[in-house]
Order: sequence, then structure tokens, then C-alpha cells
Amino acid sequence: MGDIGLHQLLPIPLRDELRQKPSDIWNRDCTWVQGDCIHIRAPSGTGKTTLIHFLFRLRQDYEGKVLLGGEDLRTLGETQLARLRQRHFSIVFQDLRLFPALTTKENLEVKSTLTAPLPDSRIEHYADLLDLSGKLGDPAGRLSYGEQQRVAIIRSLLQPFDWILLDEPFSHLDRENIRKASGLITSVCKERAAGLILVDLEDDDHFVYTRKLRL
Amino acid sequence: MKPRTGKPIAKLVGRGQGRTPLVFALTGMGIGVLVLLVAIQAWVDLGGILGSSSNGGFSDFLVIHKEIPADRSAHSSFTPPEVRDLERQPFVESAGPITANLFRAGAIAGFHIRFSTDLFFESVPDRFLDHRPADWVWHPGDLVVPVILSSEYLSMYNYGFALSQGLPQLSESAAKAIPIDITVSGPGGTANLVARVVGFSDRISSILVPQQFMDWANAHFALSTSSPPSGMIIRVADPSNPALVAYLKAHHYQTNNEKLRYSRIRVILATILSGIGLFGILVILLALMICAVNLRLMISGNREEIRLLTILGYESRTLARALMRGLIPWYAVVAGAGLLLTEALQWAGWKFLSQKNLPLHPWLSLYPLLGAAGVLVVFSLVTRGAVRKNIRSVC
Repeated sequence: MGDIGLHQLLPIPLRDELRQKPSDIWNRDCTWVQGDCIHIRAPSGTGKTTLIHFLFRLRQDYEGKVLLGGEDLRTLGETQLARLRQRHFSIVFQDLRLFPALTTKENLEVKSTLTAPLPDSRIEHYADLLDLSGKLGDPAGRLSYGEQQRVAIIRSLLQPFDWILLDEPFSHLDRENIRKASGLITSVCKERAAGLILVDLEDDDHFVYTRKLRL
Repeated sequence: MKPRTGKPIAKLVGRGQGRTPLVFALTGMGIGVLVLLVAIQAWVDLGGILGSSSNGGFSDFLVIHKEIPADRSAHSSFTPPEVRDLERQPFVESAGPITANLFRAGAIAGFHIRFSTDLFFESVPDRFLDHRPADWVWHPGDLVVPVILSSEYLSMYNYGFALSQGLPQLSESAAKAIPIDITVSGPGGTANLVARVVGFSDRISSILVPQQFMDWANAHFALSTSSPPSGMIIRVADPSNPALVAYLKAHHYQTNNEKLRYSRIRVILATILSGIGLFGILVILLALMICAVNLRLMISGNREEIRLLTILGYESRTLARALMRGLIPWYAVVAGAGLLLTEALQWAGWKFLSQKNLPLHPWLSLYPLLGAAGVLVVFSLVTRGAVRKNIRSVC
């Protein structure tokens, strides 16, 4: 679908506070080209998750505009919104949002069957890469938080997307698992010519970023 | 391309689906369908039995006259618009005028029967006769006029008149052998003719003469250029048809009420069956309500899962479809079971009634099939509406 445009974006609940602070994003005009790899750093409470939710249109309590391919996300109907989340934006939530009652495999199938279904072998290959092969039959609610985070990462890669949105995606992973996960994300993004937006508390070098911004 | 939904989705949106309410709803649906289908089929069967019992399943003939008002203010003959209106009615297969004589007629029986009387004649188009005797012809100039007498009249003579007057009783063949001298007269003159009974009618209670004779005599003796029908004879497919009875009543026409008696029974039974059918519909509606409430509770209970699925890119209608996929087959099974059970009852009824010589088909008619399909469609549509509405409300 294309590039992301932000025009004078400000979350209404934090409006007065954020107007006083310098930011690369809030209350400014920005354009991010599909294929960009963007790192956004900010301390907690300054709207990292809020920004991700604005982009994914989970929240609309903002001033200004969020555009994707020139289209205002506020104007999308139910079908267009579903299509946005099926084909253009993929996401790893900070709070993961898995279905605890479903097994790891079923959590992944929920996503893989939604659009162009991927073969089981692909799911198994990703699970193998992130050391989850032995956990596919376990209920997601019984996995450790780190394992759940890896399941959420794999789930985000099982659909077509132009952009992947990562909200503190490696917060519970060790260095080795971060290396494996970021490597997998990089290869899938390359395969899909997709852009990446990662928000986190600290600076990092998990990806080859084309831009580093501060909220 | 429609998104595919696998087992995990059905597991998420259909989770916690109360088995008990679903069983209640399906049982209610089954009972309602059975009652409704039995009522529909019974209504169809009733039409078949009553429609055929009066005349063996063939068309019947009714002679219609106008009621004579108490003050004798109205004319009893039928006007052309009234005839046309009667002919237009869907339950009338064929209609013909009954023409009365407008001249005076008297008769004297021959041989040793001392019998003289004033007479009347009527004529109907030949196609309305029970059977047409070979000598049922008359041409101007013929001295002998063929007559078809009502069988009832011969019975009245034999068992009423002859016994009390000391006259001989007559068989049909004897009656046919007796020539009757008749005198017809009017403003146009007087003539002496001979009437001969050539047949008897069970259908028309009258003294019938050929239409050619009636037209000639009315014109010749009564100097009448037109003779409006004094009555009408109609052929109907089903004399118990309530529409026919209602029509006759509304127009103050009289006929043989014996032939119409099934109409009353039919109306009463139809009312009872309508009540039973209505009860079936009410049970179905109740089952629908249980179903809708159960769906609302289930969707509300899985609110978080449904929200997360829409966040992941599922449309509400895709989720509704996944949920429906778990319900519609059950509806189809219940409607099919109701249909099979109705057929079993029909079969049993056929076995039972065939011993009593009552006609009944062993197989269901098309209407119960349509009824079952209708219930299935209504259940599916209402469920779809309830599912979509409730899913949208939680998204």
C-alpha cells in the first residue's frame, strides 16, 4: 500500500504535555518510505505504545492525521480495516495478545489461515529457528513469557505485510534469542520488501536501521 | 478471496457454547417443525379426502336458483352480468343456463292411468345431462317431444302419489312406454303434442325438454324473443370449496345444500388445523428466541477472543460465518428429522385409512417440504442476524 505519513500527530490525552517537549514525531510532519527500518526510542509514558496503536488503528484519540499510501486511516470502513491488518500492517504487541487456551500451533494457524495460507512446513521451520519446535502442542498460556514473545513474533510473520510494527518485541528474550528472532524478521521483511518500525526504551542494533528517531 | 477459518476460530468463537440451551432450542425447533408439518400435510390430505368423498373425486354439478325474497320484489331470473360473473369464478369449471317455459302446458296421461296436470318444462345445454339418450332430438314439426324426467319425480309418483290415488306403480321402462298428451298454448296459439319420457336424470330435478324445442315453443307460443335463464347449472371441481359456498351465500343463490355440507366440516377442520399450525409456529418462535439468547450469551462470553480476532484482521462476518458453520448443520438435521417423522406418520395414516377406503397418499406433498425448507431458512437468517449483530456489538 505504501508509505506512512504523519501530519501534526498528537495523542489527545497527552496533548498539553507533549506540545512542550521536543520530538521527532509528535506534532510534526513525517513521511516514512516502505522499506525503511525505523527505530523509535522513548522513555516510558511518552506514548510509544500509543503511537503503534495509532498506526494499527486500534486507537483514534489523536489530533492530526495518520496516512498509509496517502489514505487517512480514520476513513477506513470495517472491511478496509480488516484488509489493512491482513495485508499491510503486521504487529507484535507489547502485551503479546496470544490466545492462552489455544496451543502454540493453533495460535499460529489463527494468523496463517487468515490470508494466503502458509504451508505447515513454513510454520514448523520458523518454530524450529526460534527453538519452539517442542512447544507447538502446548497451550500458549503455559509457555514462559519469553516463549510467548517468540510465538507472537512468528505469528506476525505469517501474513503478507508492507510494514511490521514491533512494540518492545525482545523485552523478555536473551541475547541469543534476540539474534535469532531479529535475523528471522529481517529475512522475512526483505522477502516482502517491507518496512519495520520498532519502538523501545533504549537504543539497540538489532536491525540495520535507516532512521533512528526520538518520541 | 474469502478468508479461510479453521478449527481454532470455531474453537474460540464457539467456546463455552452451552449445550443445554442449544439442546433445548433444537428440541423446541424439532417439536415445532413436526407440529407445523403435520398440520400442513393434514390440511392437504383433508382437501383430498373431503374434495373427493362427495363424488368420487370427479367434478360435480350444482343447480343454482336465486332465493325468492319474502316480499317477492326481486326477479328470479339471472341477468347477463350475473351469468358472466358466475362463469368467471375460479371454482366454476363450466356454467350453463336453465331455460323455463314461458307458455302454458298441460298433460293427460294415456292408457288406463287417469292423470292430468298442468306442467312446466325446463331445458339445459346437452353437455350438462347425466347421459344423453339416442332419441334426444326434436325438430320443428315433430309431434313427439322427448322428455327427461327427474328420477326423484318417478319415485314421488310411485311411493307417494300412486299409492294414495290407487294408480299403478311404474318402472322406468314402463314410464318410458307411456305417451303423454300435452297441450301447449299461449298468445301465439295452441298445439297438441305427445311427450315421451326417454330418460331419467339424477342430476337435475326437473322435467327437461330439448333446448331446440324450448327455444321454438317460447318463441312460437309465448312470442318471446329472449328467455332469461331461470336458473344456472354449474360444474365445479369441488363442491365443498368454501369459496364456492361463500360466493353462493353472498349472492343469495340457492342450491342443493347436501352437496355443500362438507364445506362446513372442512372450514371447521381447517380452523382447527390452522390453530395447530399456529401452535407449531409459536413453538418454533420460542426455540428461535432461546437460540438467539444463547448466541448472545455465548458471544458475550467470548468477547475478548472475538475482539482479538478482529484486531488480528478478521472481519465480523468471517467470524459469524465460522459460528454459523457450527449451527446450520444442526438446524438442517432437526428440520430433516421433523420431515422424516412427518412422513412416518403419513405412512402410518395411509396404512390405517386405506383399510377404510379413504384416499390418502403414502408420501408427503410438496407443501411440508416447503414448510421445512422455510423453517430452515428462517432459522438460518435469524441466527445470522443475531450472530452478526452480537459480534459487531462486542468488536
